[in-house]
Amino acid sequence: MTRQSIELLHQELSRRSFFKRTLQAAGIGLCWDRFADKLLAQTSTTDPLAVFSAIGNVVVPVDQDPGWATFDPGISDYGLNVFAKQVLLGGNDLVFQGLLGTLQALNDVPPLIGFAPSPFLGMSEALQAQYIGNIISGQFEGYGLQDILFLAAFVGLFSARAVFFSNYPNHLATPGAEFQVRQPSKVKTGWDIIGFKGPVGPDEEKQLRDRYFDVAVLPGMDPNNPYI
Amino acid sequence: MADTYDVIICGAGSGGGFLAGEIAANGTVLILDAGPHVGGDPNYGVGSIERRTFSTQINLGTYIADGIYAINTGKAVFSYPTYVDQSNPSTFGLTKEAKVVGGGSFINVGAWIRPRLVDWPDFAAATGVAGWTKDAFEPHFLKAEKILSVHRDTRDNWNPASVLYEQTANAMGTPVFMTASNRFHCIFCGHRNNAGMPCKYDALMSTAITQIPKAIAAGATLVDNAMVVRVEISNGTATGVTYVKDGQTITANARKLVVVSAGAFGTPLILFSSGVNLLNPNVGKYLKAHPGVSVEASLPGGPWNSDRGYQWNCYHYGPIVDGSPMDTLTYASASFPTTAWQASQVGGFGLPYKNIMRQFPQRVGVWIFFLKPNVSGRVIGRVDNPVVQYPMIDTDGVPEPKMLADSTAAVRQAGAILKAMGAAFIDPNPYQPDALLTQQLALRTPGAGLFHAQGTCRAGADPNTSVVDSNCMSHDVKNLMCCDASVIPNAISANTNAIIMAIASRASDFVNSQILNGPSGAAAATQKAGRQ
Repeated sequence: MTRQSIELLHQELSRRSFFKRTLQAAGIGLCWDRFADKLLAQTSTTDPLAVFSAIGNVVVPVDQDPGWATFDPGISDYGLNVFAKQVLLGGNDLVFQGLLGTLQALNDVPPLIGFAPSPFLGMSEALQAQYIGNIISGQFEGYGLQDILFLAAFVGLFSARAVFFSNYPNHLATPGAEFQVRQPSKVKTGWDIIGFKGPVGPDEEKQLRDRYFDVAVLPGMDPNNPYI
Repeated sequence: MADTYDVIICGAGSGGGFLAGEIAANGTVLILDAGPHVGGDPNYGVGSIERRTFSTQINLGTYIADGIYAINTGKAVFSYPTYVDQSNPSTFGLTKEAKVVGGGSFINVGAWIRPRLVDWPDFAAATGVAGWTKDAFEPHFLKAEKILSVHRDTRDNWNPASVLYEQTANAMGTPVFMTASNRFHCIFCGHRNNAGMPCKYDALMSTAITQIPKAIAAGATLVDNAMVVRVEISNGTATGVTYVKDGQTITANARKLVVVSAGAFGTPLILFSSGVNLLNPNVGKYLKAHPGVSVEASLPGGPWNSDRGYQWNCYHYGPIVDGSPMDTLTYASASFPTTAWQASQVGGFGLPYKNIMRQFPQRVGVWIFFLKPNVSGRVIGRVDNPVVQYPMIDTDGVPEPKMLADSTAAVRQAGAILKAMGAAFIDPNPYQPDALLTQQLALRTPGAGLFHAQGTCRAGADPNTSVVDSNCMSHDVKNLMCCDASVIPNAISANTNAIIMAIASRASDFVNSQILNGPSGAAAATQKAGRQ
């Protein structure tokens, strides 16, 4: 690439659009990868949503908090079809289809390359974590699969973490529910340590209303403020 | 044939919503808002079924990328691409603005602070705006405060950290004042720690449950989820508004007035899309905002937060220099409200925050706003491709000097108070050398983003330096008014909610007396009933 073409690229593309187009290129690039043609030439029966869900389950929980599976299938559906598609991939359906293909490949590849006897969804959680770790650390470069697997793992990990931790603990809406009620959990978390109890349930809501509704207040502004 | 109204209001937030409630009895009014109207009768402390359901949804503020430029298509907020660092223009942040009927009054934190005395001469000095004085605005503040039941919580209901902070600061000679609030009937659910969600328990904070129902009862028409495309201007006169609703492009005609009240970002964008910037190049210029930074501390004892709640119980200004306080506003709070609010704003909500809490369960903190930085930004683009530029950091990576000086002094002031309270850990360390502290603040402040955007269609006497006149009417287009934070002539020393409603109240007097030529109150209702 000549310096002129780099400068032209810099003028034409913001870094953000460059990132987006890189993802597009990665999706299209699947077609030319030497393993991808064999994988994608067959019709995979793997459900991409199930793979995405399993990736989420690997990284959440990271401790004893309620985990990813607690909120499934809603959280996986939202993470893949809303966050990954709309936020990460800019709503580009072509790239999204490429992502679904990479998720299928991430599941189907281990037996083909001898990493494990079963596909990703059939592995133990420990082996799944090992597999994801190997992908992240670039262990599959020699198989010509690194780009495919990394795209799926990156999007899966990033989306799962972003969606889960931006809505902790239980902000997923239950369809038709009047309000959210936190599912019972006796696990002590940081929220418990500082005394925050999460969204209120019906009983506590009534207690709070009894305590604070129409509580005595002081009217108007602070009369001691000489600066206003 | 298009519908015709006396007045069309674009944006039903703190400004447009309040104005609608005051003028609807005197004419036919169409209220347009880009966001949803979350309905149901007000049910204080309980909330309507609609608001309770709406405020629990996961994706209220989901940011959806849409090409290079981006505009939020989440349920309740816009996200404007905002550039604050000229030394690294490839980085940008998102500034959220309300996109819901009720606007900022529906999703803000309910802090009600009036301008400082120094703000009024500042306004006149900046633009020559006439009649914008404390005395002239006093009745409008009082009216708004009555409608919103503005009040202060008693210390029994403060979080313990705020009580201790107030006592300590007062003992050290820093006068601390009680924060007034417009969230009467709040039950302190803690739900809104994830700022950006409308109150689902109908605390009395929003025009959505006060002025807008009043306007509808007086006969106004509200159309929600209606994205204004442009103001129709013919022969120098605003004649209507074109908007998109459910995929259909609709034009409504205005006989007497078009009010643009879409916020400090939305209003100039609508004017850009309408071509008003070709008549007045000041549209979108003079953006003022309040950068901010937090100071966190670990305080033995406690617990310092109340069990729930989202409280800004007290505040003070910066250190007093030459008899006047510096241009900073510091809110004290306990660990949870401060940190969660900061975290939700900067996107750090979740595991990192939980880990911090595990590490420092006894945290207190303050949030500091820098009220009058010597920097102006601008809004450019159009309704469908907005961009906000606010050059906090110059091309050499150096922060704006006054902002940096103010923030350093304020952090040292708050740090001294926190230390006197017994804090074992303060971050950023207020006692480090100037060079290190300023370096830290230069990194943190831009990351926190912009707050209280204002001034993008500022009011003034001279069309060469302002967009609207002292009555908020456009200098250049007849029958066109702006009524929101965009008309604030210069940076104010307070959250913008209170002054927006006072501006709307003042504007409503002008509209009722000069444009609709109608009486107000009961007489107007009687007259309207007679017409029908």
